[in-house]
Amino acid sequence: MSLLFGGLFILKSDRDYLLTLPLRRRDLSISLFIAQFVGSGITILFLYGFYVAGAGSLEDTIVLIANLVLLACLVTSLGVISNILQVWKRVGLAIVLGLWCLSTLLGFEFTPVSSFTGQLVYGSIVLFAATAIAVPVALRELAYLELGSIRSLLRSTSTEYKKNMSFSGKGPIRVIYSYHLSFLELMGRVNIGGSTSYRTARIKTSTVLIISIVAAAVYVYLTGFSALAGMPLTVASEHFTPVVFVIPIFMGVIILVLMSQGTFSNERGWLAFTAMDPATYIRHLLLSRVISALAIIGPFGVADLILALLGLMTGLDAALVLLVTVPSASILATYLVARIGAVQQVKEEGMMPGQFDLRQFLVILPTYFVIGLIIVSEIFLTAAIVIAAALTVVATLLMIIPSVWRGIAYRLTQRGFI
Amino acid sequence: MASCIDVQYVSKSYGKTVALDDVSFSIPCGESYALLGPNGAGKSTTLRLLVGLLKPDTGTIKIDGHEPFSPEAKSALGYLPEDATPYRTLSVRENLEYIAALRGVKDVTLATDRFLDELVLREYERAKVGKLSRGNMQKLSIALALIHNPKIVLLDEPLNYLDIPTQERVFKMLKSLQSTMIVSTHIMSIATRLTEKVLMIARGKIVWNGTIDTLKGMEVGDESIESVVARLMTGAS
Repeated sequence: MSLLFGGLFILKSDRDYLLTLPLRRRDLSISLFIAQFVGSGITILFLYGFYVAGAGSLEDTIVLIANLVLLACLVTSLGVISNILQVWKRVGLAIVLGLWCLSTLLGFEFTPVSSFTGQLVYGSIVLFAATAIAVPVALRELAYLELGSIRSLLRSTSTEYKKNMSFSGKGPIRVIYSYHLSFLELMGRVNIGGSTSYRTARIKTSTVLIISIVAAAVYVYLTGFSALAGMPLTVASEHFTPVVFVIPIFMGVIILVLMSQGTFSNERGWLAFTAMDPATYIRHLLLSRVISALAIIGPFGVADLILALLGLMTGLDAALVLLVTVPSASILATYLVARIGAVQQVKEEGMMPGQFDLRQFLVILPTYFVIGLIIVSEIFLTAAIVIAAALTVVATLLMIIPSVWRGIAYRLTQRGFI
Repeated sequence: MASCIDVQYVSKSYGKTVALDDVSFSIPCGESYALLGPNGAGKSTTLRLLVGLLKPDTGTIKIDGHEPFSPEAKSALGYLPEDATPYRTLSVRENLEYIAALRGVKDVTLATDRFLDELVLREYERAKVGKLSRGNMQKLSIALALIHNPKIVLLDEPLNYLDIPTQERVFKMLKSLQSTMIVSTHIMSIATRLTEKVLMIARGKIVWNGTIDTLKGMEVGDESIESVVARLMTGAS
């Protein structure tokens, strides 16, 4: 993932001022690497941290902690290295590395992640060797970074759309829905496998819906009809199927992030808020984005209802979560994140849109809160009904008060959203 | 003559920083003003208040007799901020059509085609805005600010990033608008070509208000108009 989606944690001001200073770039490379590590590699500590808790002895724990740091350095380095590789090399190497790491699940001992799956000695040696190769290459890349190459993060995408979407003949409100129901807009900080970059993209909602319907059909088959449905899992019981439990949490996080971070990051106040009342615009924008988000989670909600009809009652809780709780919570999360000013307007791709402060980390709090509500909802049907109803009422109240959204528009403008 | 822009005793602060301090001015309909001032003087804040993107702490603002956030004011105003960026995930044509439709323009296609031709953007109509050069992005931004044929136009450094032929095209287009206009700029040649009058702002206060001709008349010896402006902005005699 690092190789595929890697990027450089460099601000526009770094490119324009820091990297043009008459300093030896080699002297800066360690600092740039540390910034890259803090920004991306540190995520690995969260992803793999729980393996350390499973270590037996104190010695094993110490070795695993050291390996965790090495793994974070390796992932950080791969993110940097991706910047110098052509797309086909990047993809090829990523596939090879991915398969190599996954082979540990089949018992292969010599992979960079084997120490986390029980092969402490061989895994540690391989990880150390891989890190010892990757880190110097990354440091060299940072030392000889071509200033123009930062923009080359975008090299693989085309400059034109094949076909223009037409807004002609539509009224002011209809055009908002037309825009946001036609495309899912992905914009902002992309962090996959610990690699962070800034991208913009749009995907046809119809394409997403088709993929989602197919995935949901596969999900219903595997969970309700196939041999896997009756497979005894460690924590599975008659009333508890892990996959039905986990999917709403996973989808909930995706939608909350998509809504709370993505709704305003591509918005343009100087165009939208001056064309009509910001309250009217934002409310229709939110509704249209919630509806388009249902293209992702809706089919899974319907799939869960089918599972409930087949007798898997957890499906009812999950359907309620996906079809009611998550959409309502996403409106609240979007409001809260904008209210605390923790959303960045993306003006230039491939660059961080600004510096981050503590508020950026606070955005995770509403998400954690909602995850908690989803988990409770999935355990108790009564709680699911109460939580879904309560969130819908709060979200509706929020949506019908225009001053709330005018306040958000003023707040965004004061924070530099133009 | 009726005022299209009327600002009375307006103050605006960001936390402890005072951006505008008890500012009053009035602009008659059909007149063009240059808004001059040093960096951080309060020019952008003034424009954002006029267009209703910010609320004043005290004082009143009327746009064509209406509150800035009213539908009447919004349909009368066209606004271009400094370093404007359009919607990055839409194409050039989609941006124009989207904003025209959002503003309730009757013939969206006609308005879009007009600006694509006038600003020589036709070859980029399917281009992703995120991939445009800064100059073409500025041309598109100008078109987006003017697509609804606004009665009052507020422009912040409109000619930034434009090549000379495009600058001339934009000069011609803006002169033909017959709108009430405020142009915020640091470049005096733009002010003198586009406007007849000047509002000078420094440290959040209006420090001078008059015609370009009066300003020229204040030149001492071979002093340039820029030197006169600098003198007025800094309060030097």
